[in-house]
Amino acid sequence: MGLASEEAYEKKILDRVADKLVDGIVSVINKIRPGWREKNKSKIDEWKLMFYAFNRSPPGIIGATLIIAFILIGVFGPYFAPYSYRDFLYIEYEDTYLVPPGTTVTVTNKQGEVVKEFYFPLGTDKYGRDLLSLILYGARVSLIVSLIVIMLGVPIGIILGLIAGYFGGKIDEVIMRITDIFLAFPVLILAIAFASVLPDRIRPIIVGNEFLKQLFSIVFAADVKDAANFAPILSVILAIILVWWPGYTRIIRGSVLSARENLYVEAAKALGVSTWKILFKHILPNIISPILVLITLDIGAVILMEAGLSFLGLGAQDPMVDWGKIVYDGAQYFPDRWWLVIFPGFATFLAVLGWNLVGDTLRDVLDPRTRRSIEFKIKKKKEEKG
Amino acid sequence: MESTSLRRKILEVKDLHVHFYTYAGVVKAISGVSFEIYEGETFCLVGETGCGKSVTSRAITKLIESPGKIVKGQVLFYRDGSPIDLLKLSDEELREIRGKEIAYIFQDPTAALDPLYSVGYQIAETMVAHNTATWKDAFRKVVDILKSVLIPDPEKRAKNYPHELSGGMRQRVVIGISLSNKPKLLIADEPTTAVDVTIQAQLLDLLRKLRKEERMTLLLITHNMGVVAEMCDRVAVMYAGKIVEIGTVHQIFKNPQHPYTKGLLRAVPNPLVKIEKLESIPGTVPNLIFPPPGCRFHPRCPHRFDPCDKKEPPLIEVEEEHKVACWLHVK
Amino acid sequence: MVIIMAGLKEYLIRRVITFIPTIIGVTIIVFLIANIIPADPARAWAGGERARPEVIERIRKMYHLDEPWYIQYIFVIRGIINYFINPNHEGALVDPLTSRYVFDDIFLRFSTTLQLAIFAEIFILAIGIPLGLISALKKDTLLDTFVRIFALVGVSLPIFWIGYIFIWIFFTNLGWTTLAGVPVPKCYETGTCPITTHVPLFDAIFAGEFDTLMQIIKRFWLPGLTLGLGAAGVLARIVRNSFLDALNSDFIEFAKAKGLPRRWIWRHALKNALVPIITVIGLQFGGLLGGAVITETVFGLPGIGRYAVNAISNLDMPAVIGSTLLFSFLYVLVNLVVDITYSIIDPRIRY
Repeated sequence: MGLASEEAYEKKILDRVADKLVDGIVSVINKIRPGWREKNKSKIDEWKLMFYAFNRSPPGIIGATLIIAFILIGVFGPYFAPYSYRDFLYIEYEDTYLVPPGTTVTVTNKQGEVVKEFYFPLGTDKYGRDLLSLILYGARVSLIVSLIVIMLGVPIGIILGLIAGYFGGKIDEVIMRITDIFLAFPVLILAIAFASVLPDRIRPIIVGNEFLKQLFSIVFAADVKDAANFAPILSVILAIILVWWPGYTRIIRGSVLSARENLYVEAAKALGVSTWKILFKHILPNIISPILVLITLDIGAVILMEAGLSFLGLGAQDPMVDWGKIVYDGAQYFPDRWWLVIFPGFATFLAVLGWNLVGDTLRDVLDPRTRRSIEFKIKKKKEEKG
Repeated sequence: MESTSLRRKILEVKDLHVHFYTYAGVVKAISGVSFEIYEGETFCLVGETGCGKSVTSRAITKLIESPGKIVKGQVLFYRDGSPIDLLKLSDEELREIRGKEIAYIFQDPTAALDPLYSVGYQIAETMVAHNTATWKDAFRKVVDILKSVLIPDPEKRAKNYPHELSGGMRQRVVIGISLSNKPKLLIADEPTTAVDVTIQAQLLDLLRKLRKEERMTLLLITHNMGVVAEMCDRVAVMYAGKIVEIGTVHQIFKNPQHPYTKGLLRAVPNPLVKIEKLESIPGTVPNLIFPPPGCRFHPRCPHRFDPCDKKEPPLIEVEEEHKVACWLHVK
Repeated sequence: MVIIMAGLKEYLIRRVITFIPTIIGVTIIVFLIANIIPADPARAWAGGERARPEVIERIRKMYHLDEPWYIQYIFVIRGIINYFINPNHEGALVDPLTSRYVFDDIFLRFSTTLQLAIFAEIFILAIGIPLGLISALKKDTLLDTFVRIFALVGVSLPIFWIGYIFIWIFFTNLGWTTLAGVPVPKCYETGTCPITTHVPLFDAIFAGEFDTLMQIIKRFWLPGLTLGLGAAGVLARIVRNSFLDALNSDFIEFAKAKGLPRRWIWRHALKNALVPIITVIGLQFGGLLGGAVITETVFGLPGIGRYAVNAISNLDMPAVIGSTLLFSFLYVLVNLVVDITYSIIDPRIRY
C-alpha cells in the first residue's frame, strides 16, 4: 500500500509540496533509468514519509526557511545589493563615515539643492560602505566556502575511512596514525596555521592566471582587480578541509569495522563483487544515515569557523568582505558603532542556526520509528474526519 | 497433594486486562485473565511467545510501564489470610512488597545485573532496601546466600562483577537476590531459557530445593513443556492474552481438552504420552490490536464450528480442578 | 583496591606508550610544514626590512638556519629538553623575538588559558548537567523542547557576536567585569606565596588573598560564560540522552522488581550514564584549552591560543614548536585522564 497513491491520509500543504518535489525528482530519475520508479516504490514512499515527519517539526521548518533564505541570499544577494562593496563613498562624501542604521545622507550642491541621497538601512562602515550591501556580498563568501569545504572535505574523509576500515592491517595503521596526528591539534589553531601559511604560496599562481582571475570574480561576485584575494580565501578553504576530514575518517572507519562483519558483505565477496562495488553499493548506504545528519550540522560549524578565521584577520582581505571580516574591521568601534558587529554577527548566527535546526530535525526524521508514528497519526486523523 | 479445602490461596488474579497504547493502535495484551495460586505449590503459566504470560507476571505487582496500562482487574494477595488488592496499593506500598514478599527472576541474567556494581553489593542492597539487614550484616549474609545457591568460593565471588561470572552463575546470583528476603511468592519468568541445557537442569534442581527449604510458592512462566512436566503442580495455558485451559499437570498432559493445548503437546516430545510424529500448529499468532472475534484460537482450530467465531467461550470446569474455555466442551 | 590499581598501572603505561609516536610525529610534521614557508624567518626575527645584516647572520647561526632541517629539529628539541632538565634552564630554547625562554612565555600564557578554561568548565557543568537531568526526567515536555532549542541556539552563537553583546551588557552598562590585563596575587611580587603553581587563581586561593580572587573572578567569569554557553547546551543533550538510555536498561527493570527506592534506582542509572558523559566533558575541556582563540581576542586575554596564532604569523618557529608540543601533550593528558576515569567507573574496561 503506497502512501503516494492513497488519499486516505490527511496531508498538510507542505506535505503536498513535498509530494510534488519527490515525484518530480523521481520522474527525472525514471527518464534516465526507465523502470526505476517501479522497482523502488517502497523507497519513494519512505522518502515521502521522511518529508511528512520533517514537516511536523516547527524547529525543522524554521531551520529549512533559514537555510533557503541563506542560499538564496548567497546566490542572488550581490546582484540585488543597493551598493557595491567597492563603493567607498567616504572618499567623496565625508558624511557617510560610520553612520548609524536608518540614516539618510543627503548631498547638497552650492545652491542648497539636494543632488544625491543615500539611504543606509543598516548603517555604514569606515569606508562609507553600506552595511546591508556588505552583508549581502558576505553571504556569497560564506556560502561558497562552506559548500566547497563540505563537498571536498567530506568525501575525502569518507573514502579514507572506508579504505582504512575495510582493508585493515597496515593501510589502516597508516591512515589512522595520520588521522590521529591531525586530531591531536586544536582544530582552530591548525586551521589558522594553514590559513596563514598557504596564501603566500598560492598567490603567485593566481595572479598570473587569467582564467583563475575570471573564475574568482564570477564565483565570489567580486571585481577582477581583487583577484589576489583568491589566495587567502582559497587558503581558508583548504585549511578547513585539512582539519575537517579526520573527523569523518574516524567515524566512517568505526562504522565500516562493524558493517563488514555482516553476512551480506561475505555473500557479496563470495559472488565475486568487486571491492569498490562492495564499498559503495553495499556498505556505504547502510552507514550513511548518521553521516547525513553530521554533514548538515557541520555546514553550520564550517560557516562558524570560516567567519571566525575572518574575524582573526585571515581569509578575505580588503576590500573584499565576509561576515567575519566586517566584525574584524568594526570591533574597534564597539560599542559606539555597534551595528558593525551586531548585524553581520546576527546574520552568521541565523545561517548557522538554520543548519543546526535542520540537522537536529533530520536526526529524528531518519529514525524509522518516528516515520511510522507519523504515518499512523496521519491515517488516524483522516479516519476521524471520515 | 492436599485436598482443595485444606489448601490456602496465596494469590488470586481476577479478570485482569492490560492494554498497550502504541502509535499503531491499542494492543490488548491480556483480556480477562483469572487464576488462583495456592500456598506451597509450583504453578506454571505456559504459552507461545507473545501470548501475554510475561505481561501477566509483571502486572501482578504493577510493574507495567507506559505505554502499557492495567485497565481492569484485581490481584488479590493473601497475606496472613486476608486478601489485599495489589492493584489498589500506592507505589510505596507496592515497592515494599516487591523484592520482599513477592520476588522476581527474569529470563536474561546478564540484563538483570548492573555491570558496574559487584554482585555482592547487588545482593546486599536488596536486603538493606527492605530493612532486613544493615549494610554490615547484609554483606555477611551475602556469603551465606551465595553458598545456598551453590556458588563455589563465595567470599571471593561476592566481590566479582557480573561480567566476571558465567551465565549460569549469574542466574544463580539473581536467584540469590530474589530469595534474600525470604519471599512468600517467587515469580520466575523463563529462568532457564537463556542458559545451556546442563545449567538449566542445575537451576531447576536449585529452585526445587530452595522452594522446599523455604516453603515458598513458585509461579513459573515458560514455553518449554519439558520444564512444566518436571516442575509444576498446576498449569495454566495461555493463548493470545487469554487463559484457555487450567488444570493439574497430570490432567493437562494426560487429558488435554483445548485444541490449542493438544496442539502444543503434539508439537513437543511428551514424557507422559507416546507420540508418533511431531506436528506444528498451522497459522500464526493473531494481531492483538484487532483480535479475531469470538474464540481467539478459532482461525487455527481444526475443530471450529458455528459459535466459535461469534462469541468468546467461558472457562468451564470439565473435571475437578480442570477448566477449559472452548465451545466444544459447553453443554 | 590494590589488585585493581595494579592492573590499572599496566593499562596506563600501555596507553602512554602508544601516544609517544604520535607526539613525535606531530612535532616533525609541524617542523616540516614550517620549512615550506618561503619567507626568510631570520630577517623577520631580526626586525624585518630595517634589519642589520650582522644581526640576521647571528640569528642564522644561532638557530642553525643554514643547516639541513633535521639539524634544526634536533637543536630545537634539545633546547626544549634543556629547559625542563636543567635547574636554571641552562641551554634552553630562547625565543628570537622576545629573547626569553620559549617555555617561560608559553607557561605564562597557558596559565591564562587554563583559568579561562576552568571558568568555562564551571559554567558548562553548572548549566549543562542540571538541564540535562531535568530534561531527561521531564522527557517530551515543553521544558525538554526548551533545553533542546537552547542547546541548538548555544552552539550556533558566534563568539565574536555574543561576546560583544555580553560585553556591552555587563561591562559597558553594568560594570560587572573588567577587560584589561590579568590579575595576579600580590604575593608574586613579595615572594611570600605559600604555594606557587604559577596559576594566579590557585595561588590566590592558597594565599588567602580574597580581594585578588574577586578580581580574577571579575575578569574571567564573562569570557568563561561566553565560551561555555555552547558547550553547556551540548553537554545537556548528552546528559539527557545517556541518562534516558541508562534508565531504559534491563537491569533497571529488575531493580524495580527488587523493590529498590526510586533514588537508588537513579543512582544505578546515573553511574551507567556516566561513561559517555565523562567522555564528552573530558574532550570538551581539552578543546577549551586549545581552541579559545576567538574568546581570547574578543576579551583581550593573553592566552596560549593568541600566542600560537601570533607565533605563526611572526614565523616564530621555536614558539610554534613549543606550542605544538604543549598542545599534543595536553591532548595525551586529557585522553589519559578520561581513560583512567573510565576504568574507575566501569570495571569491564580494565584489560
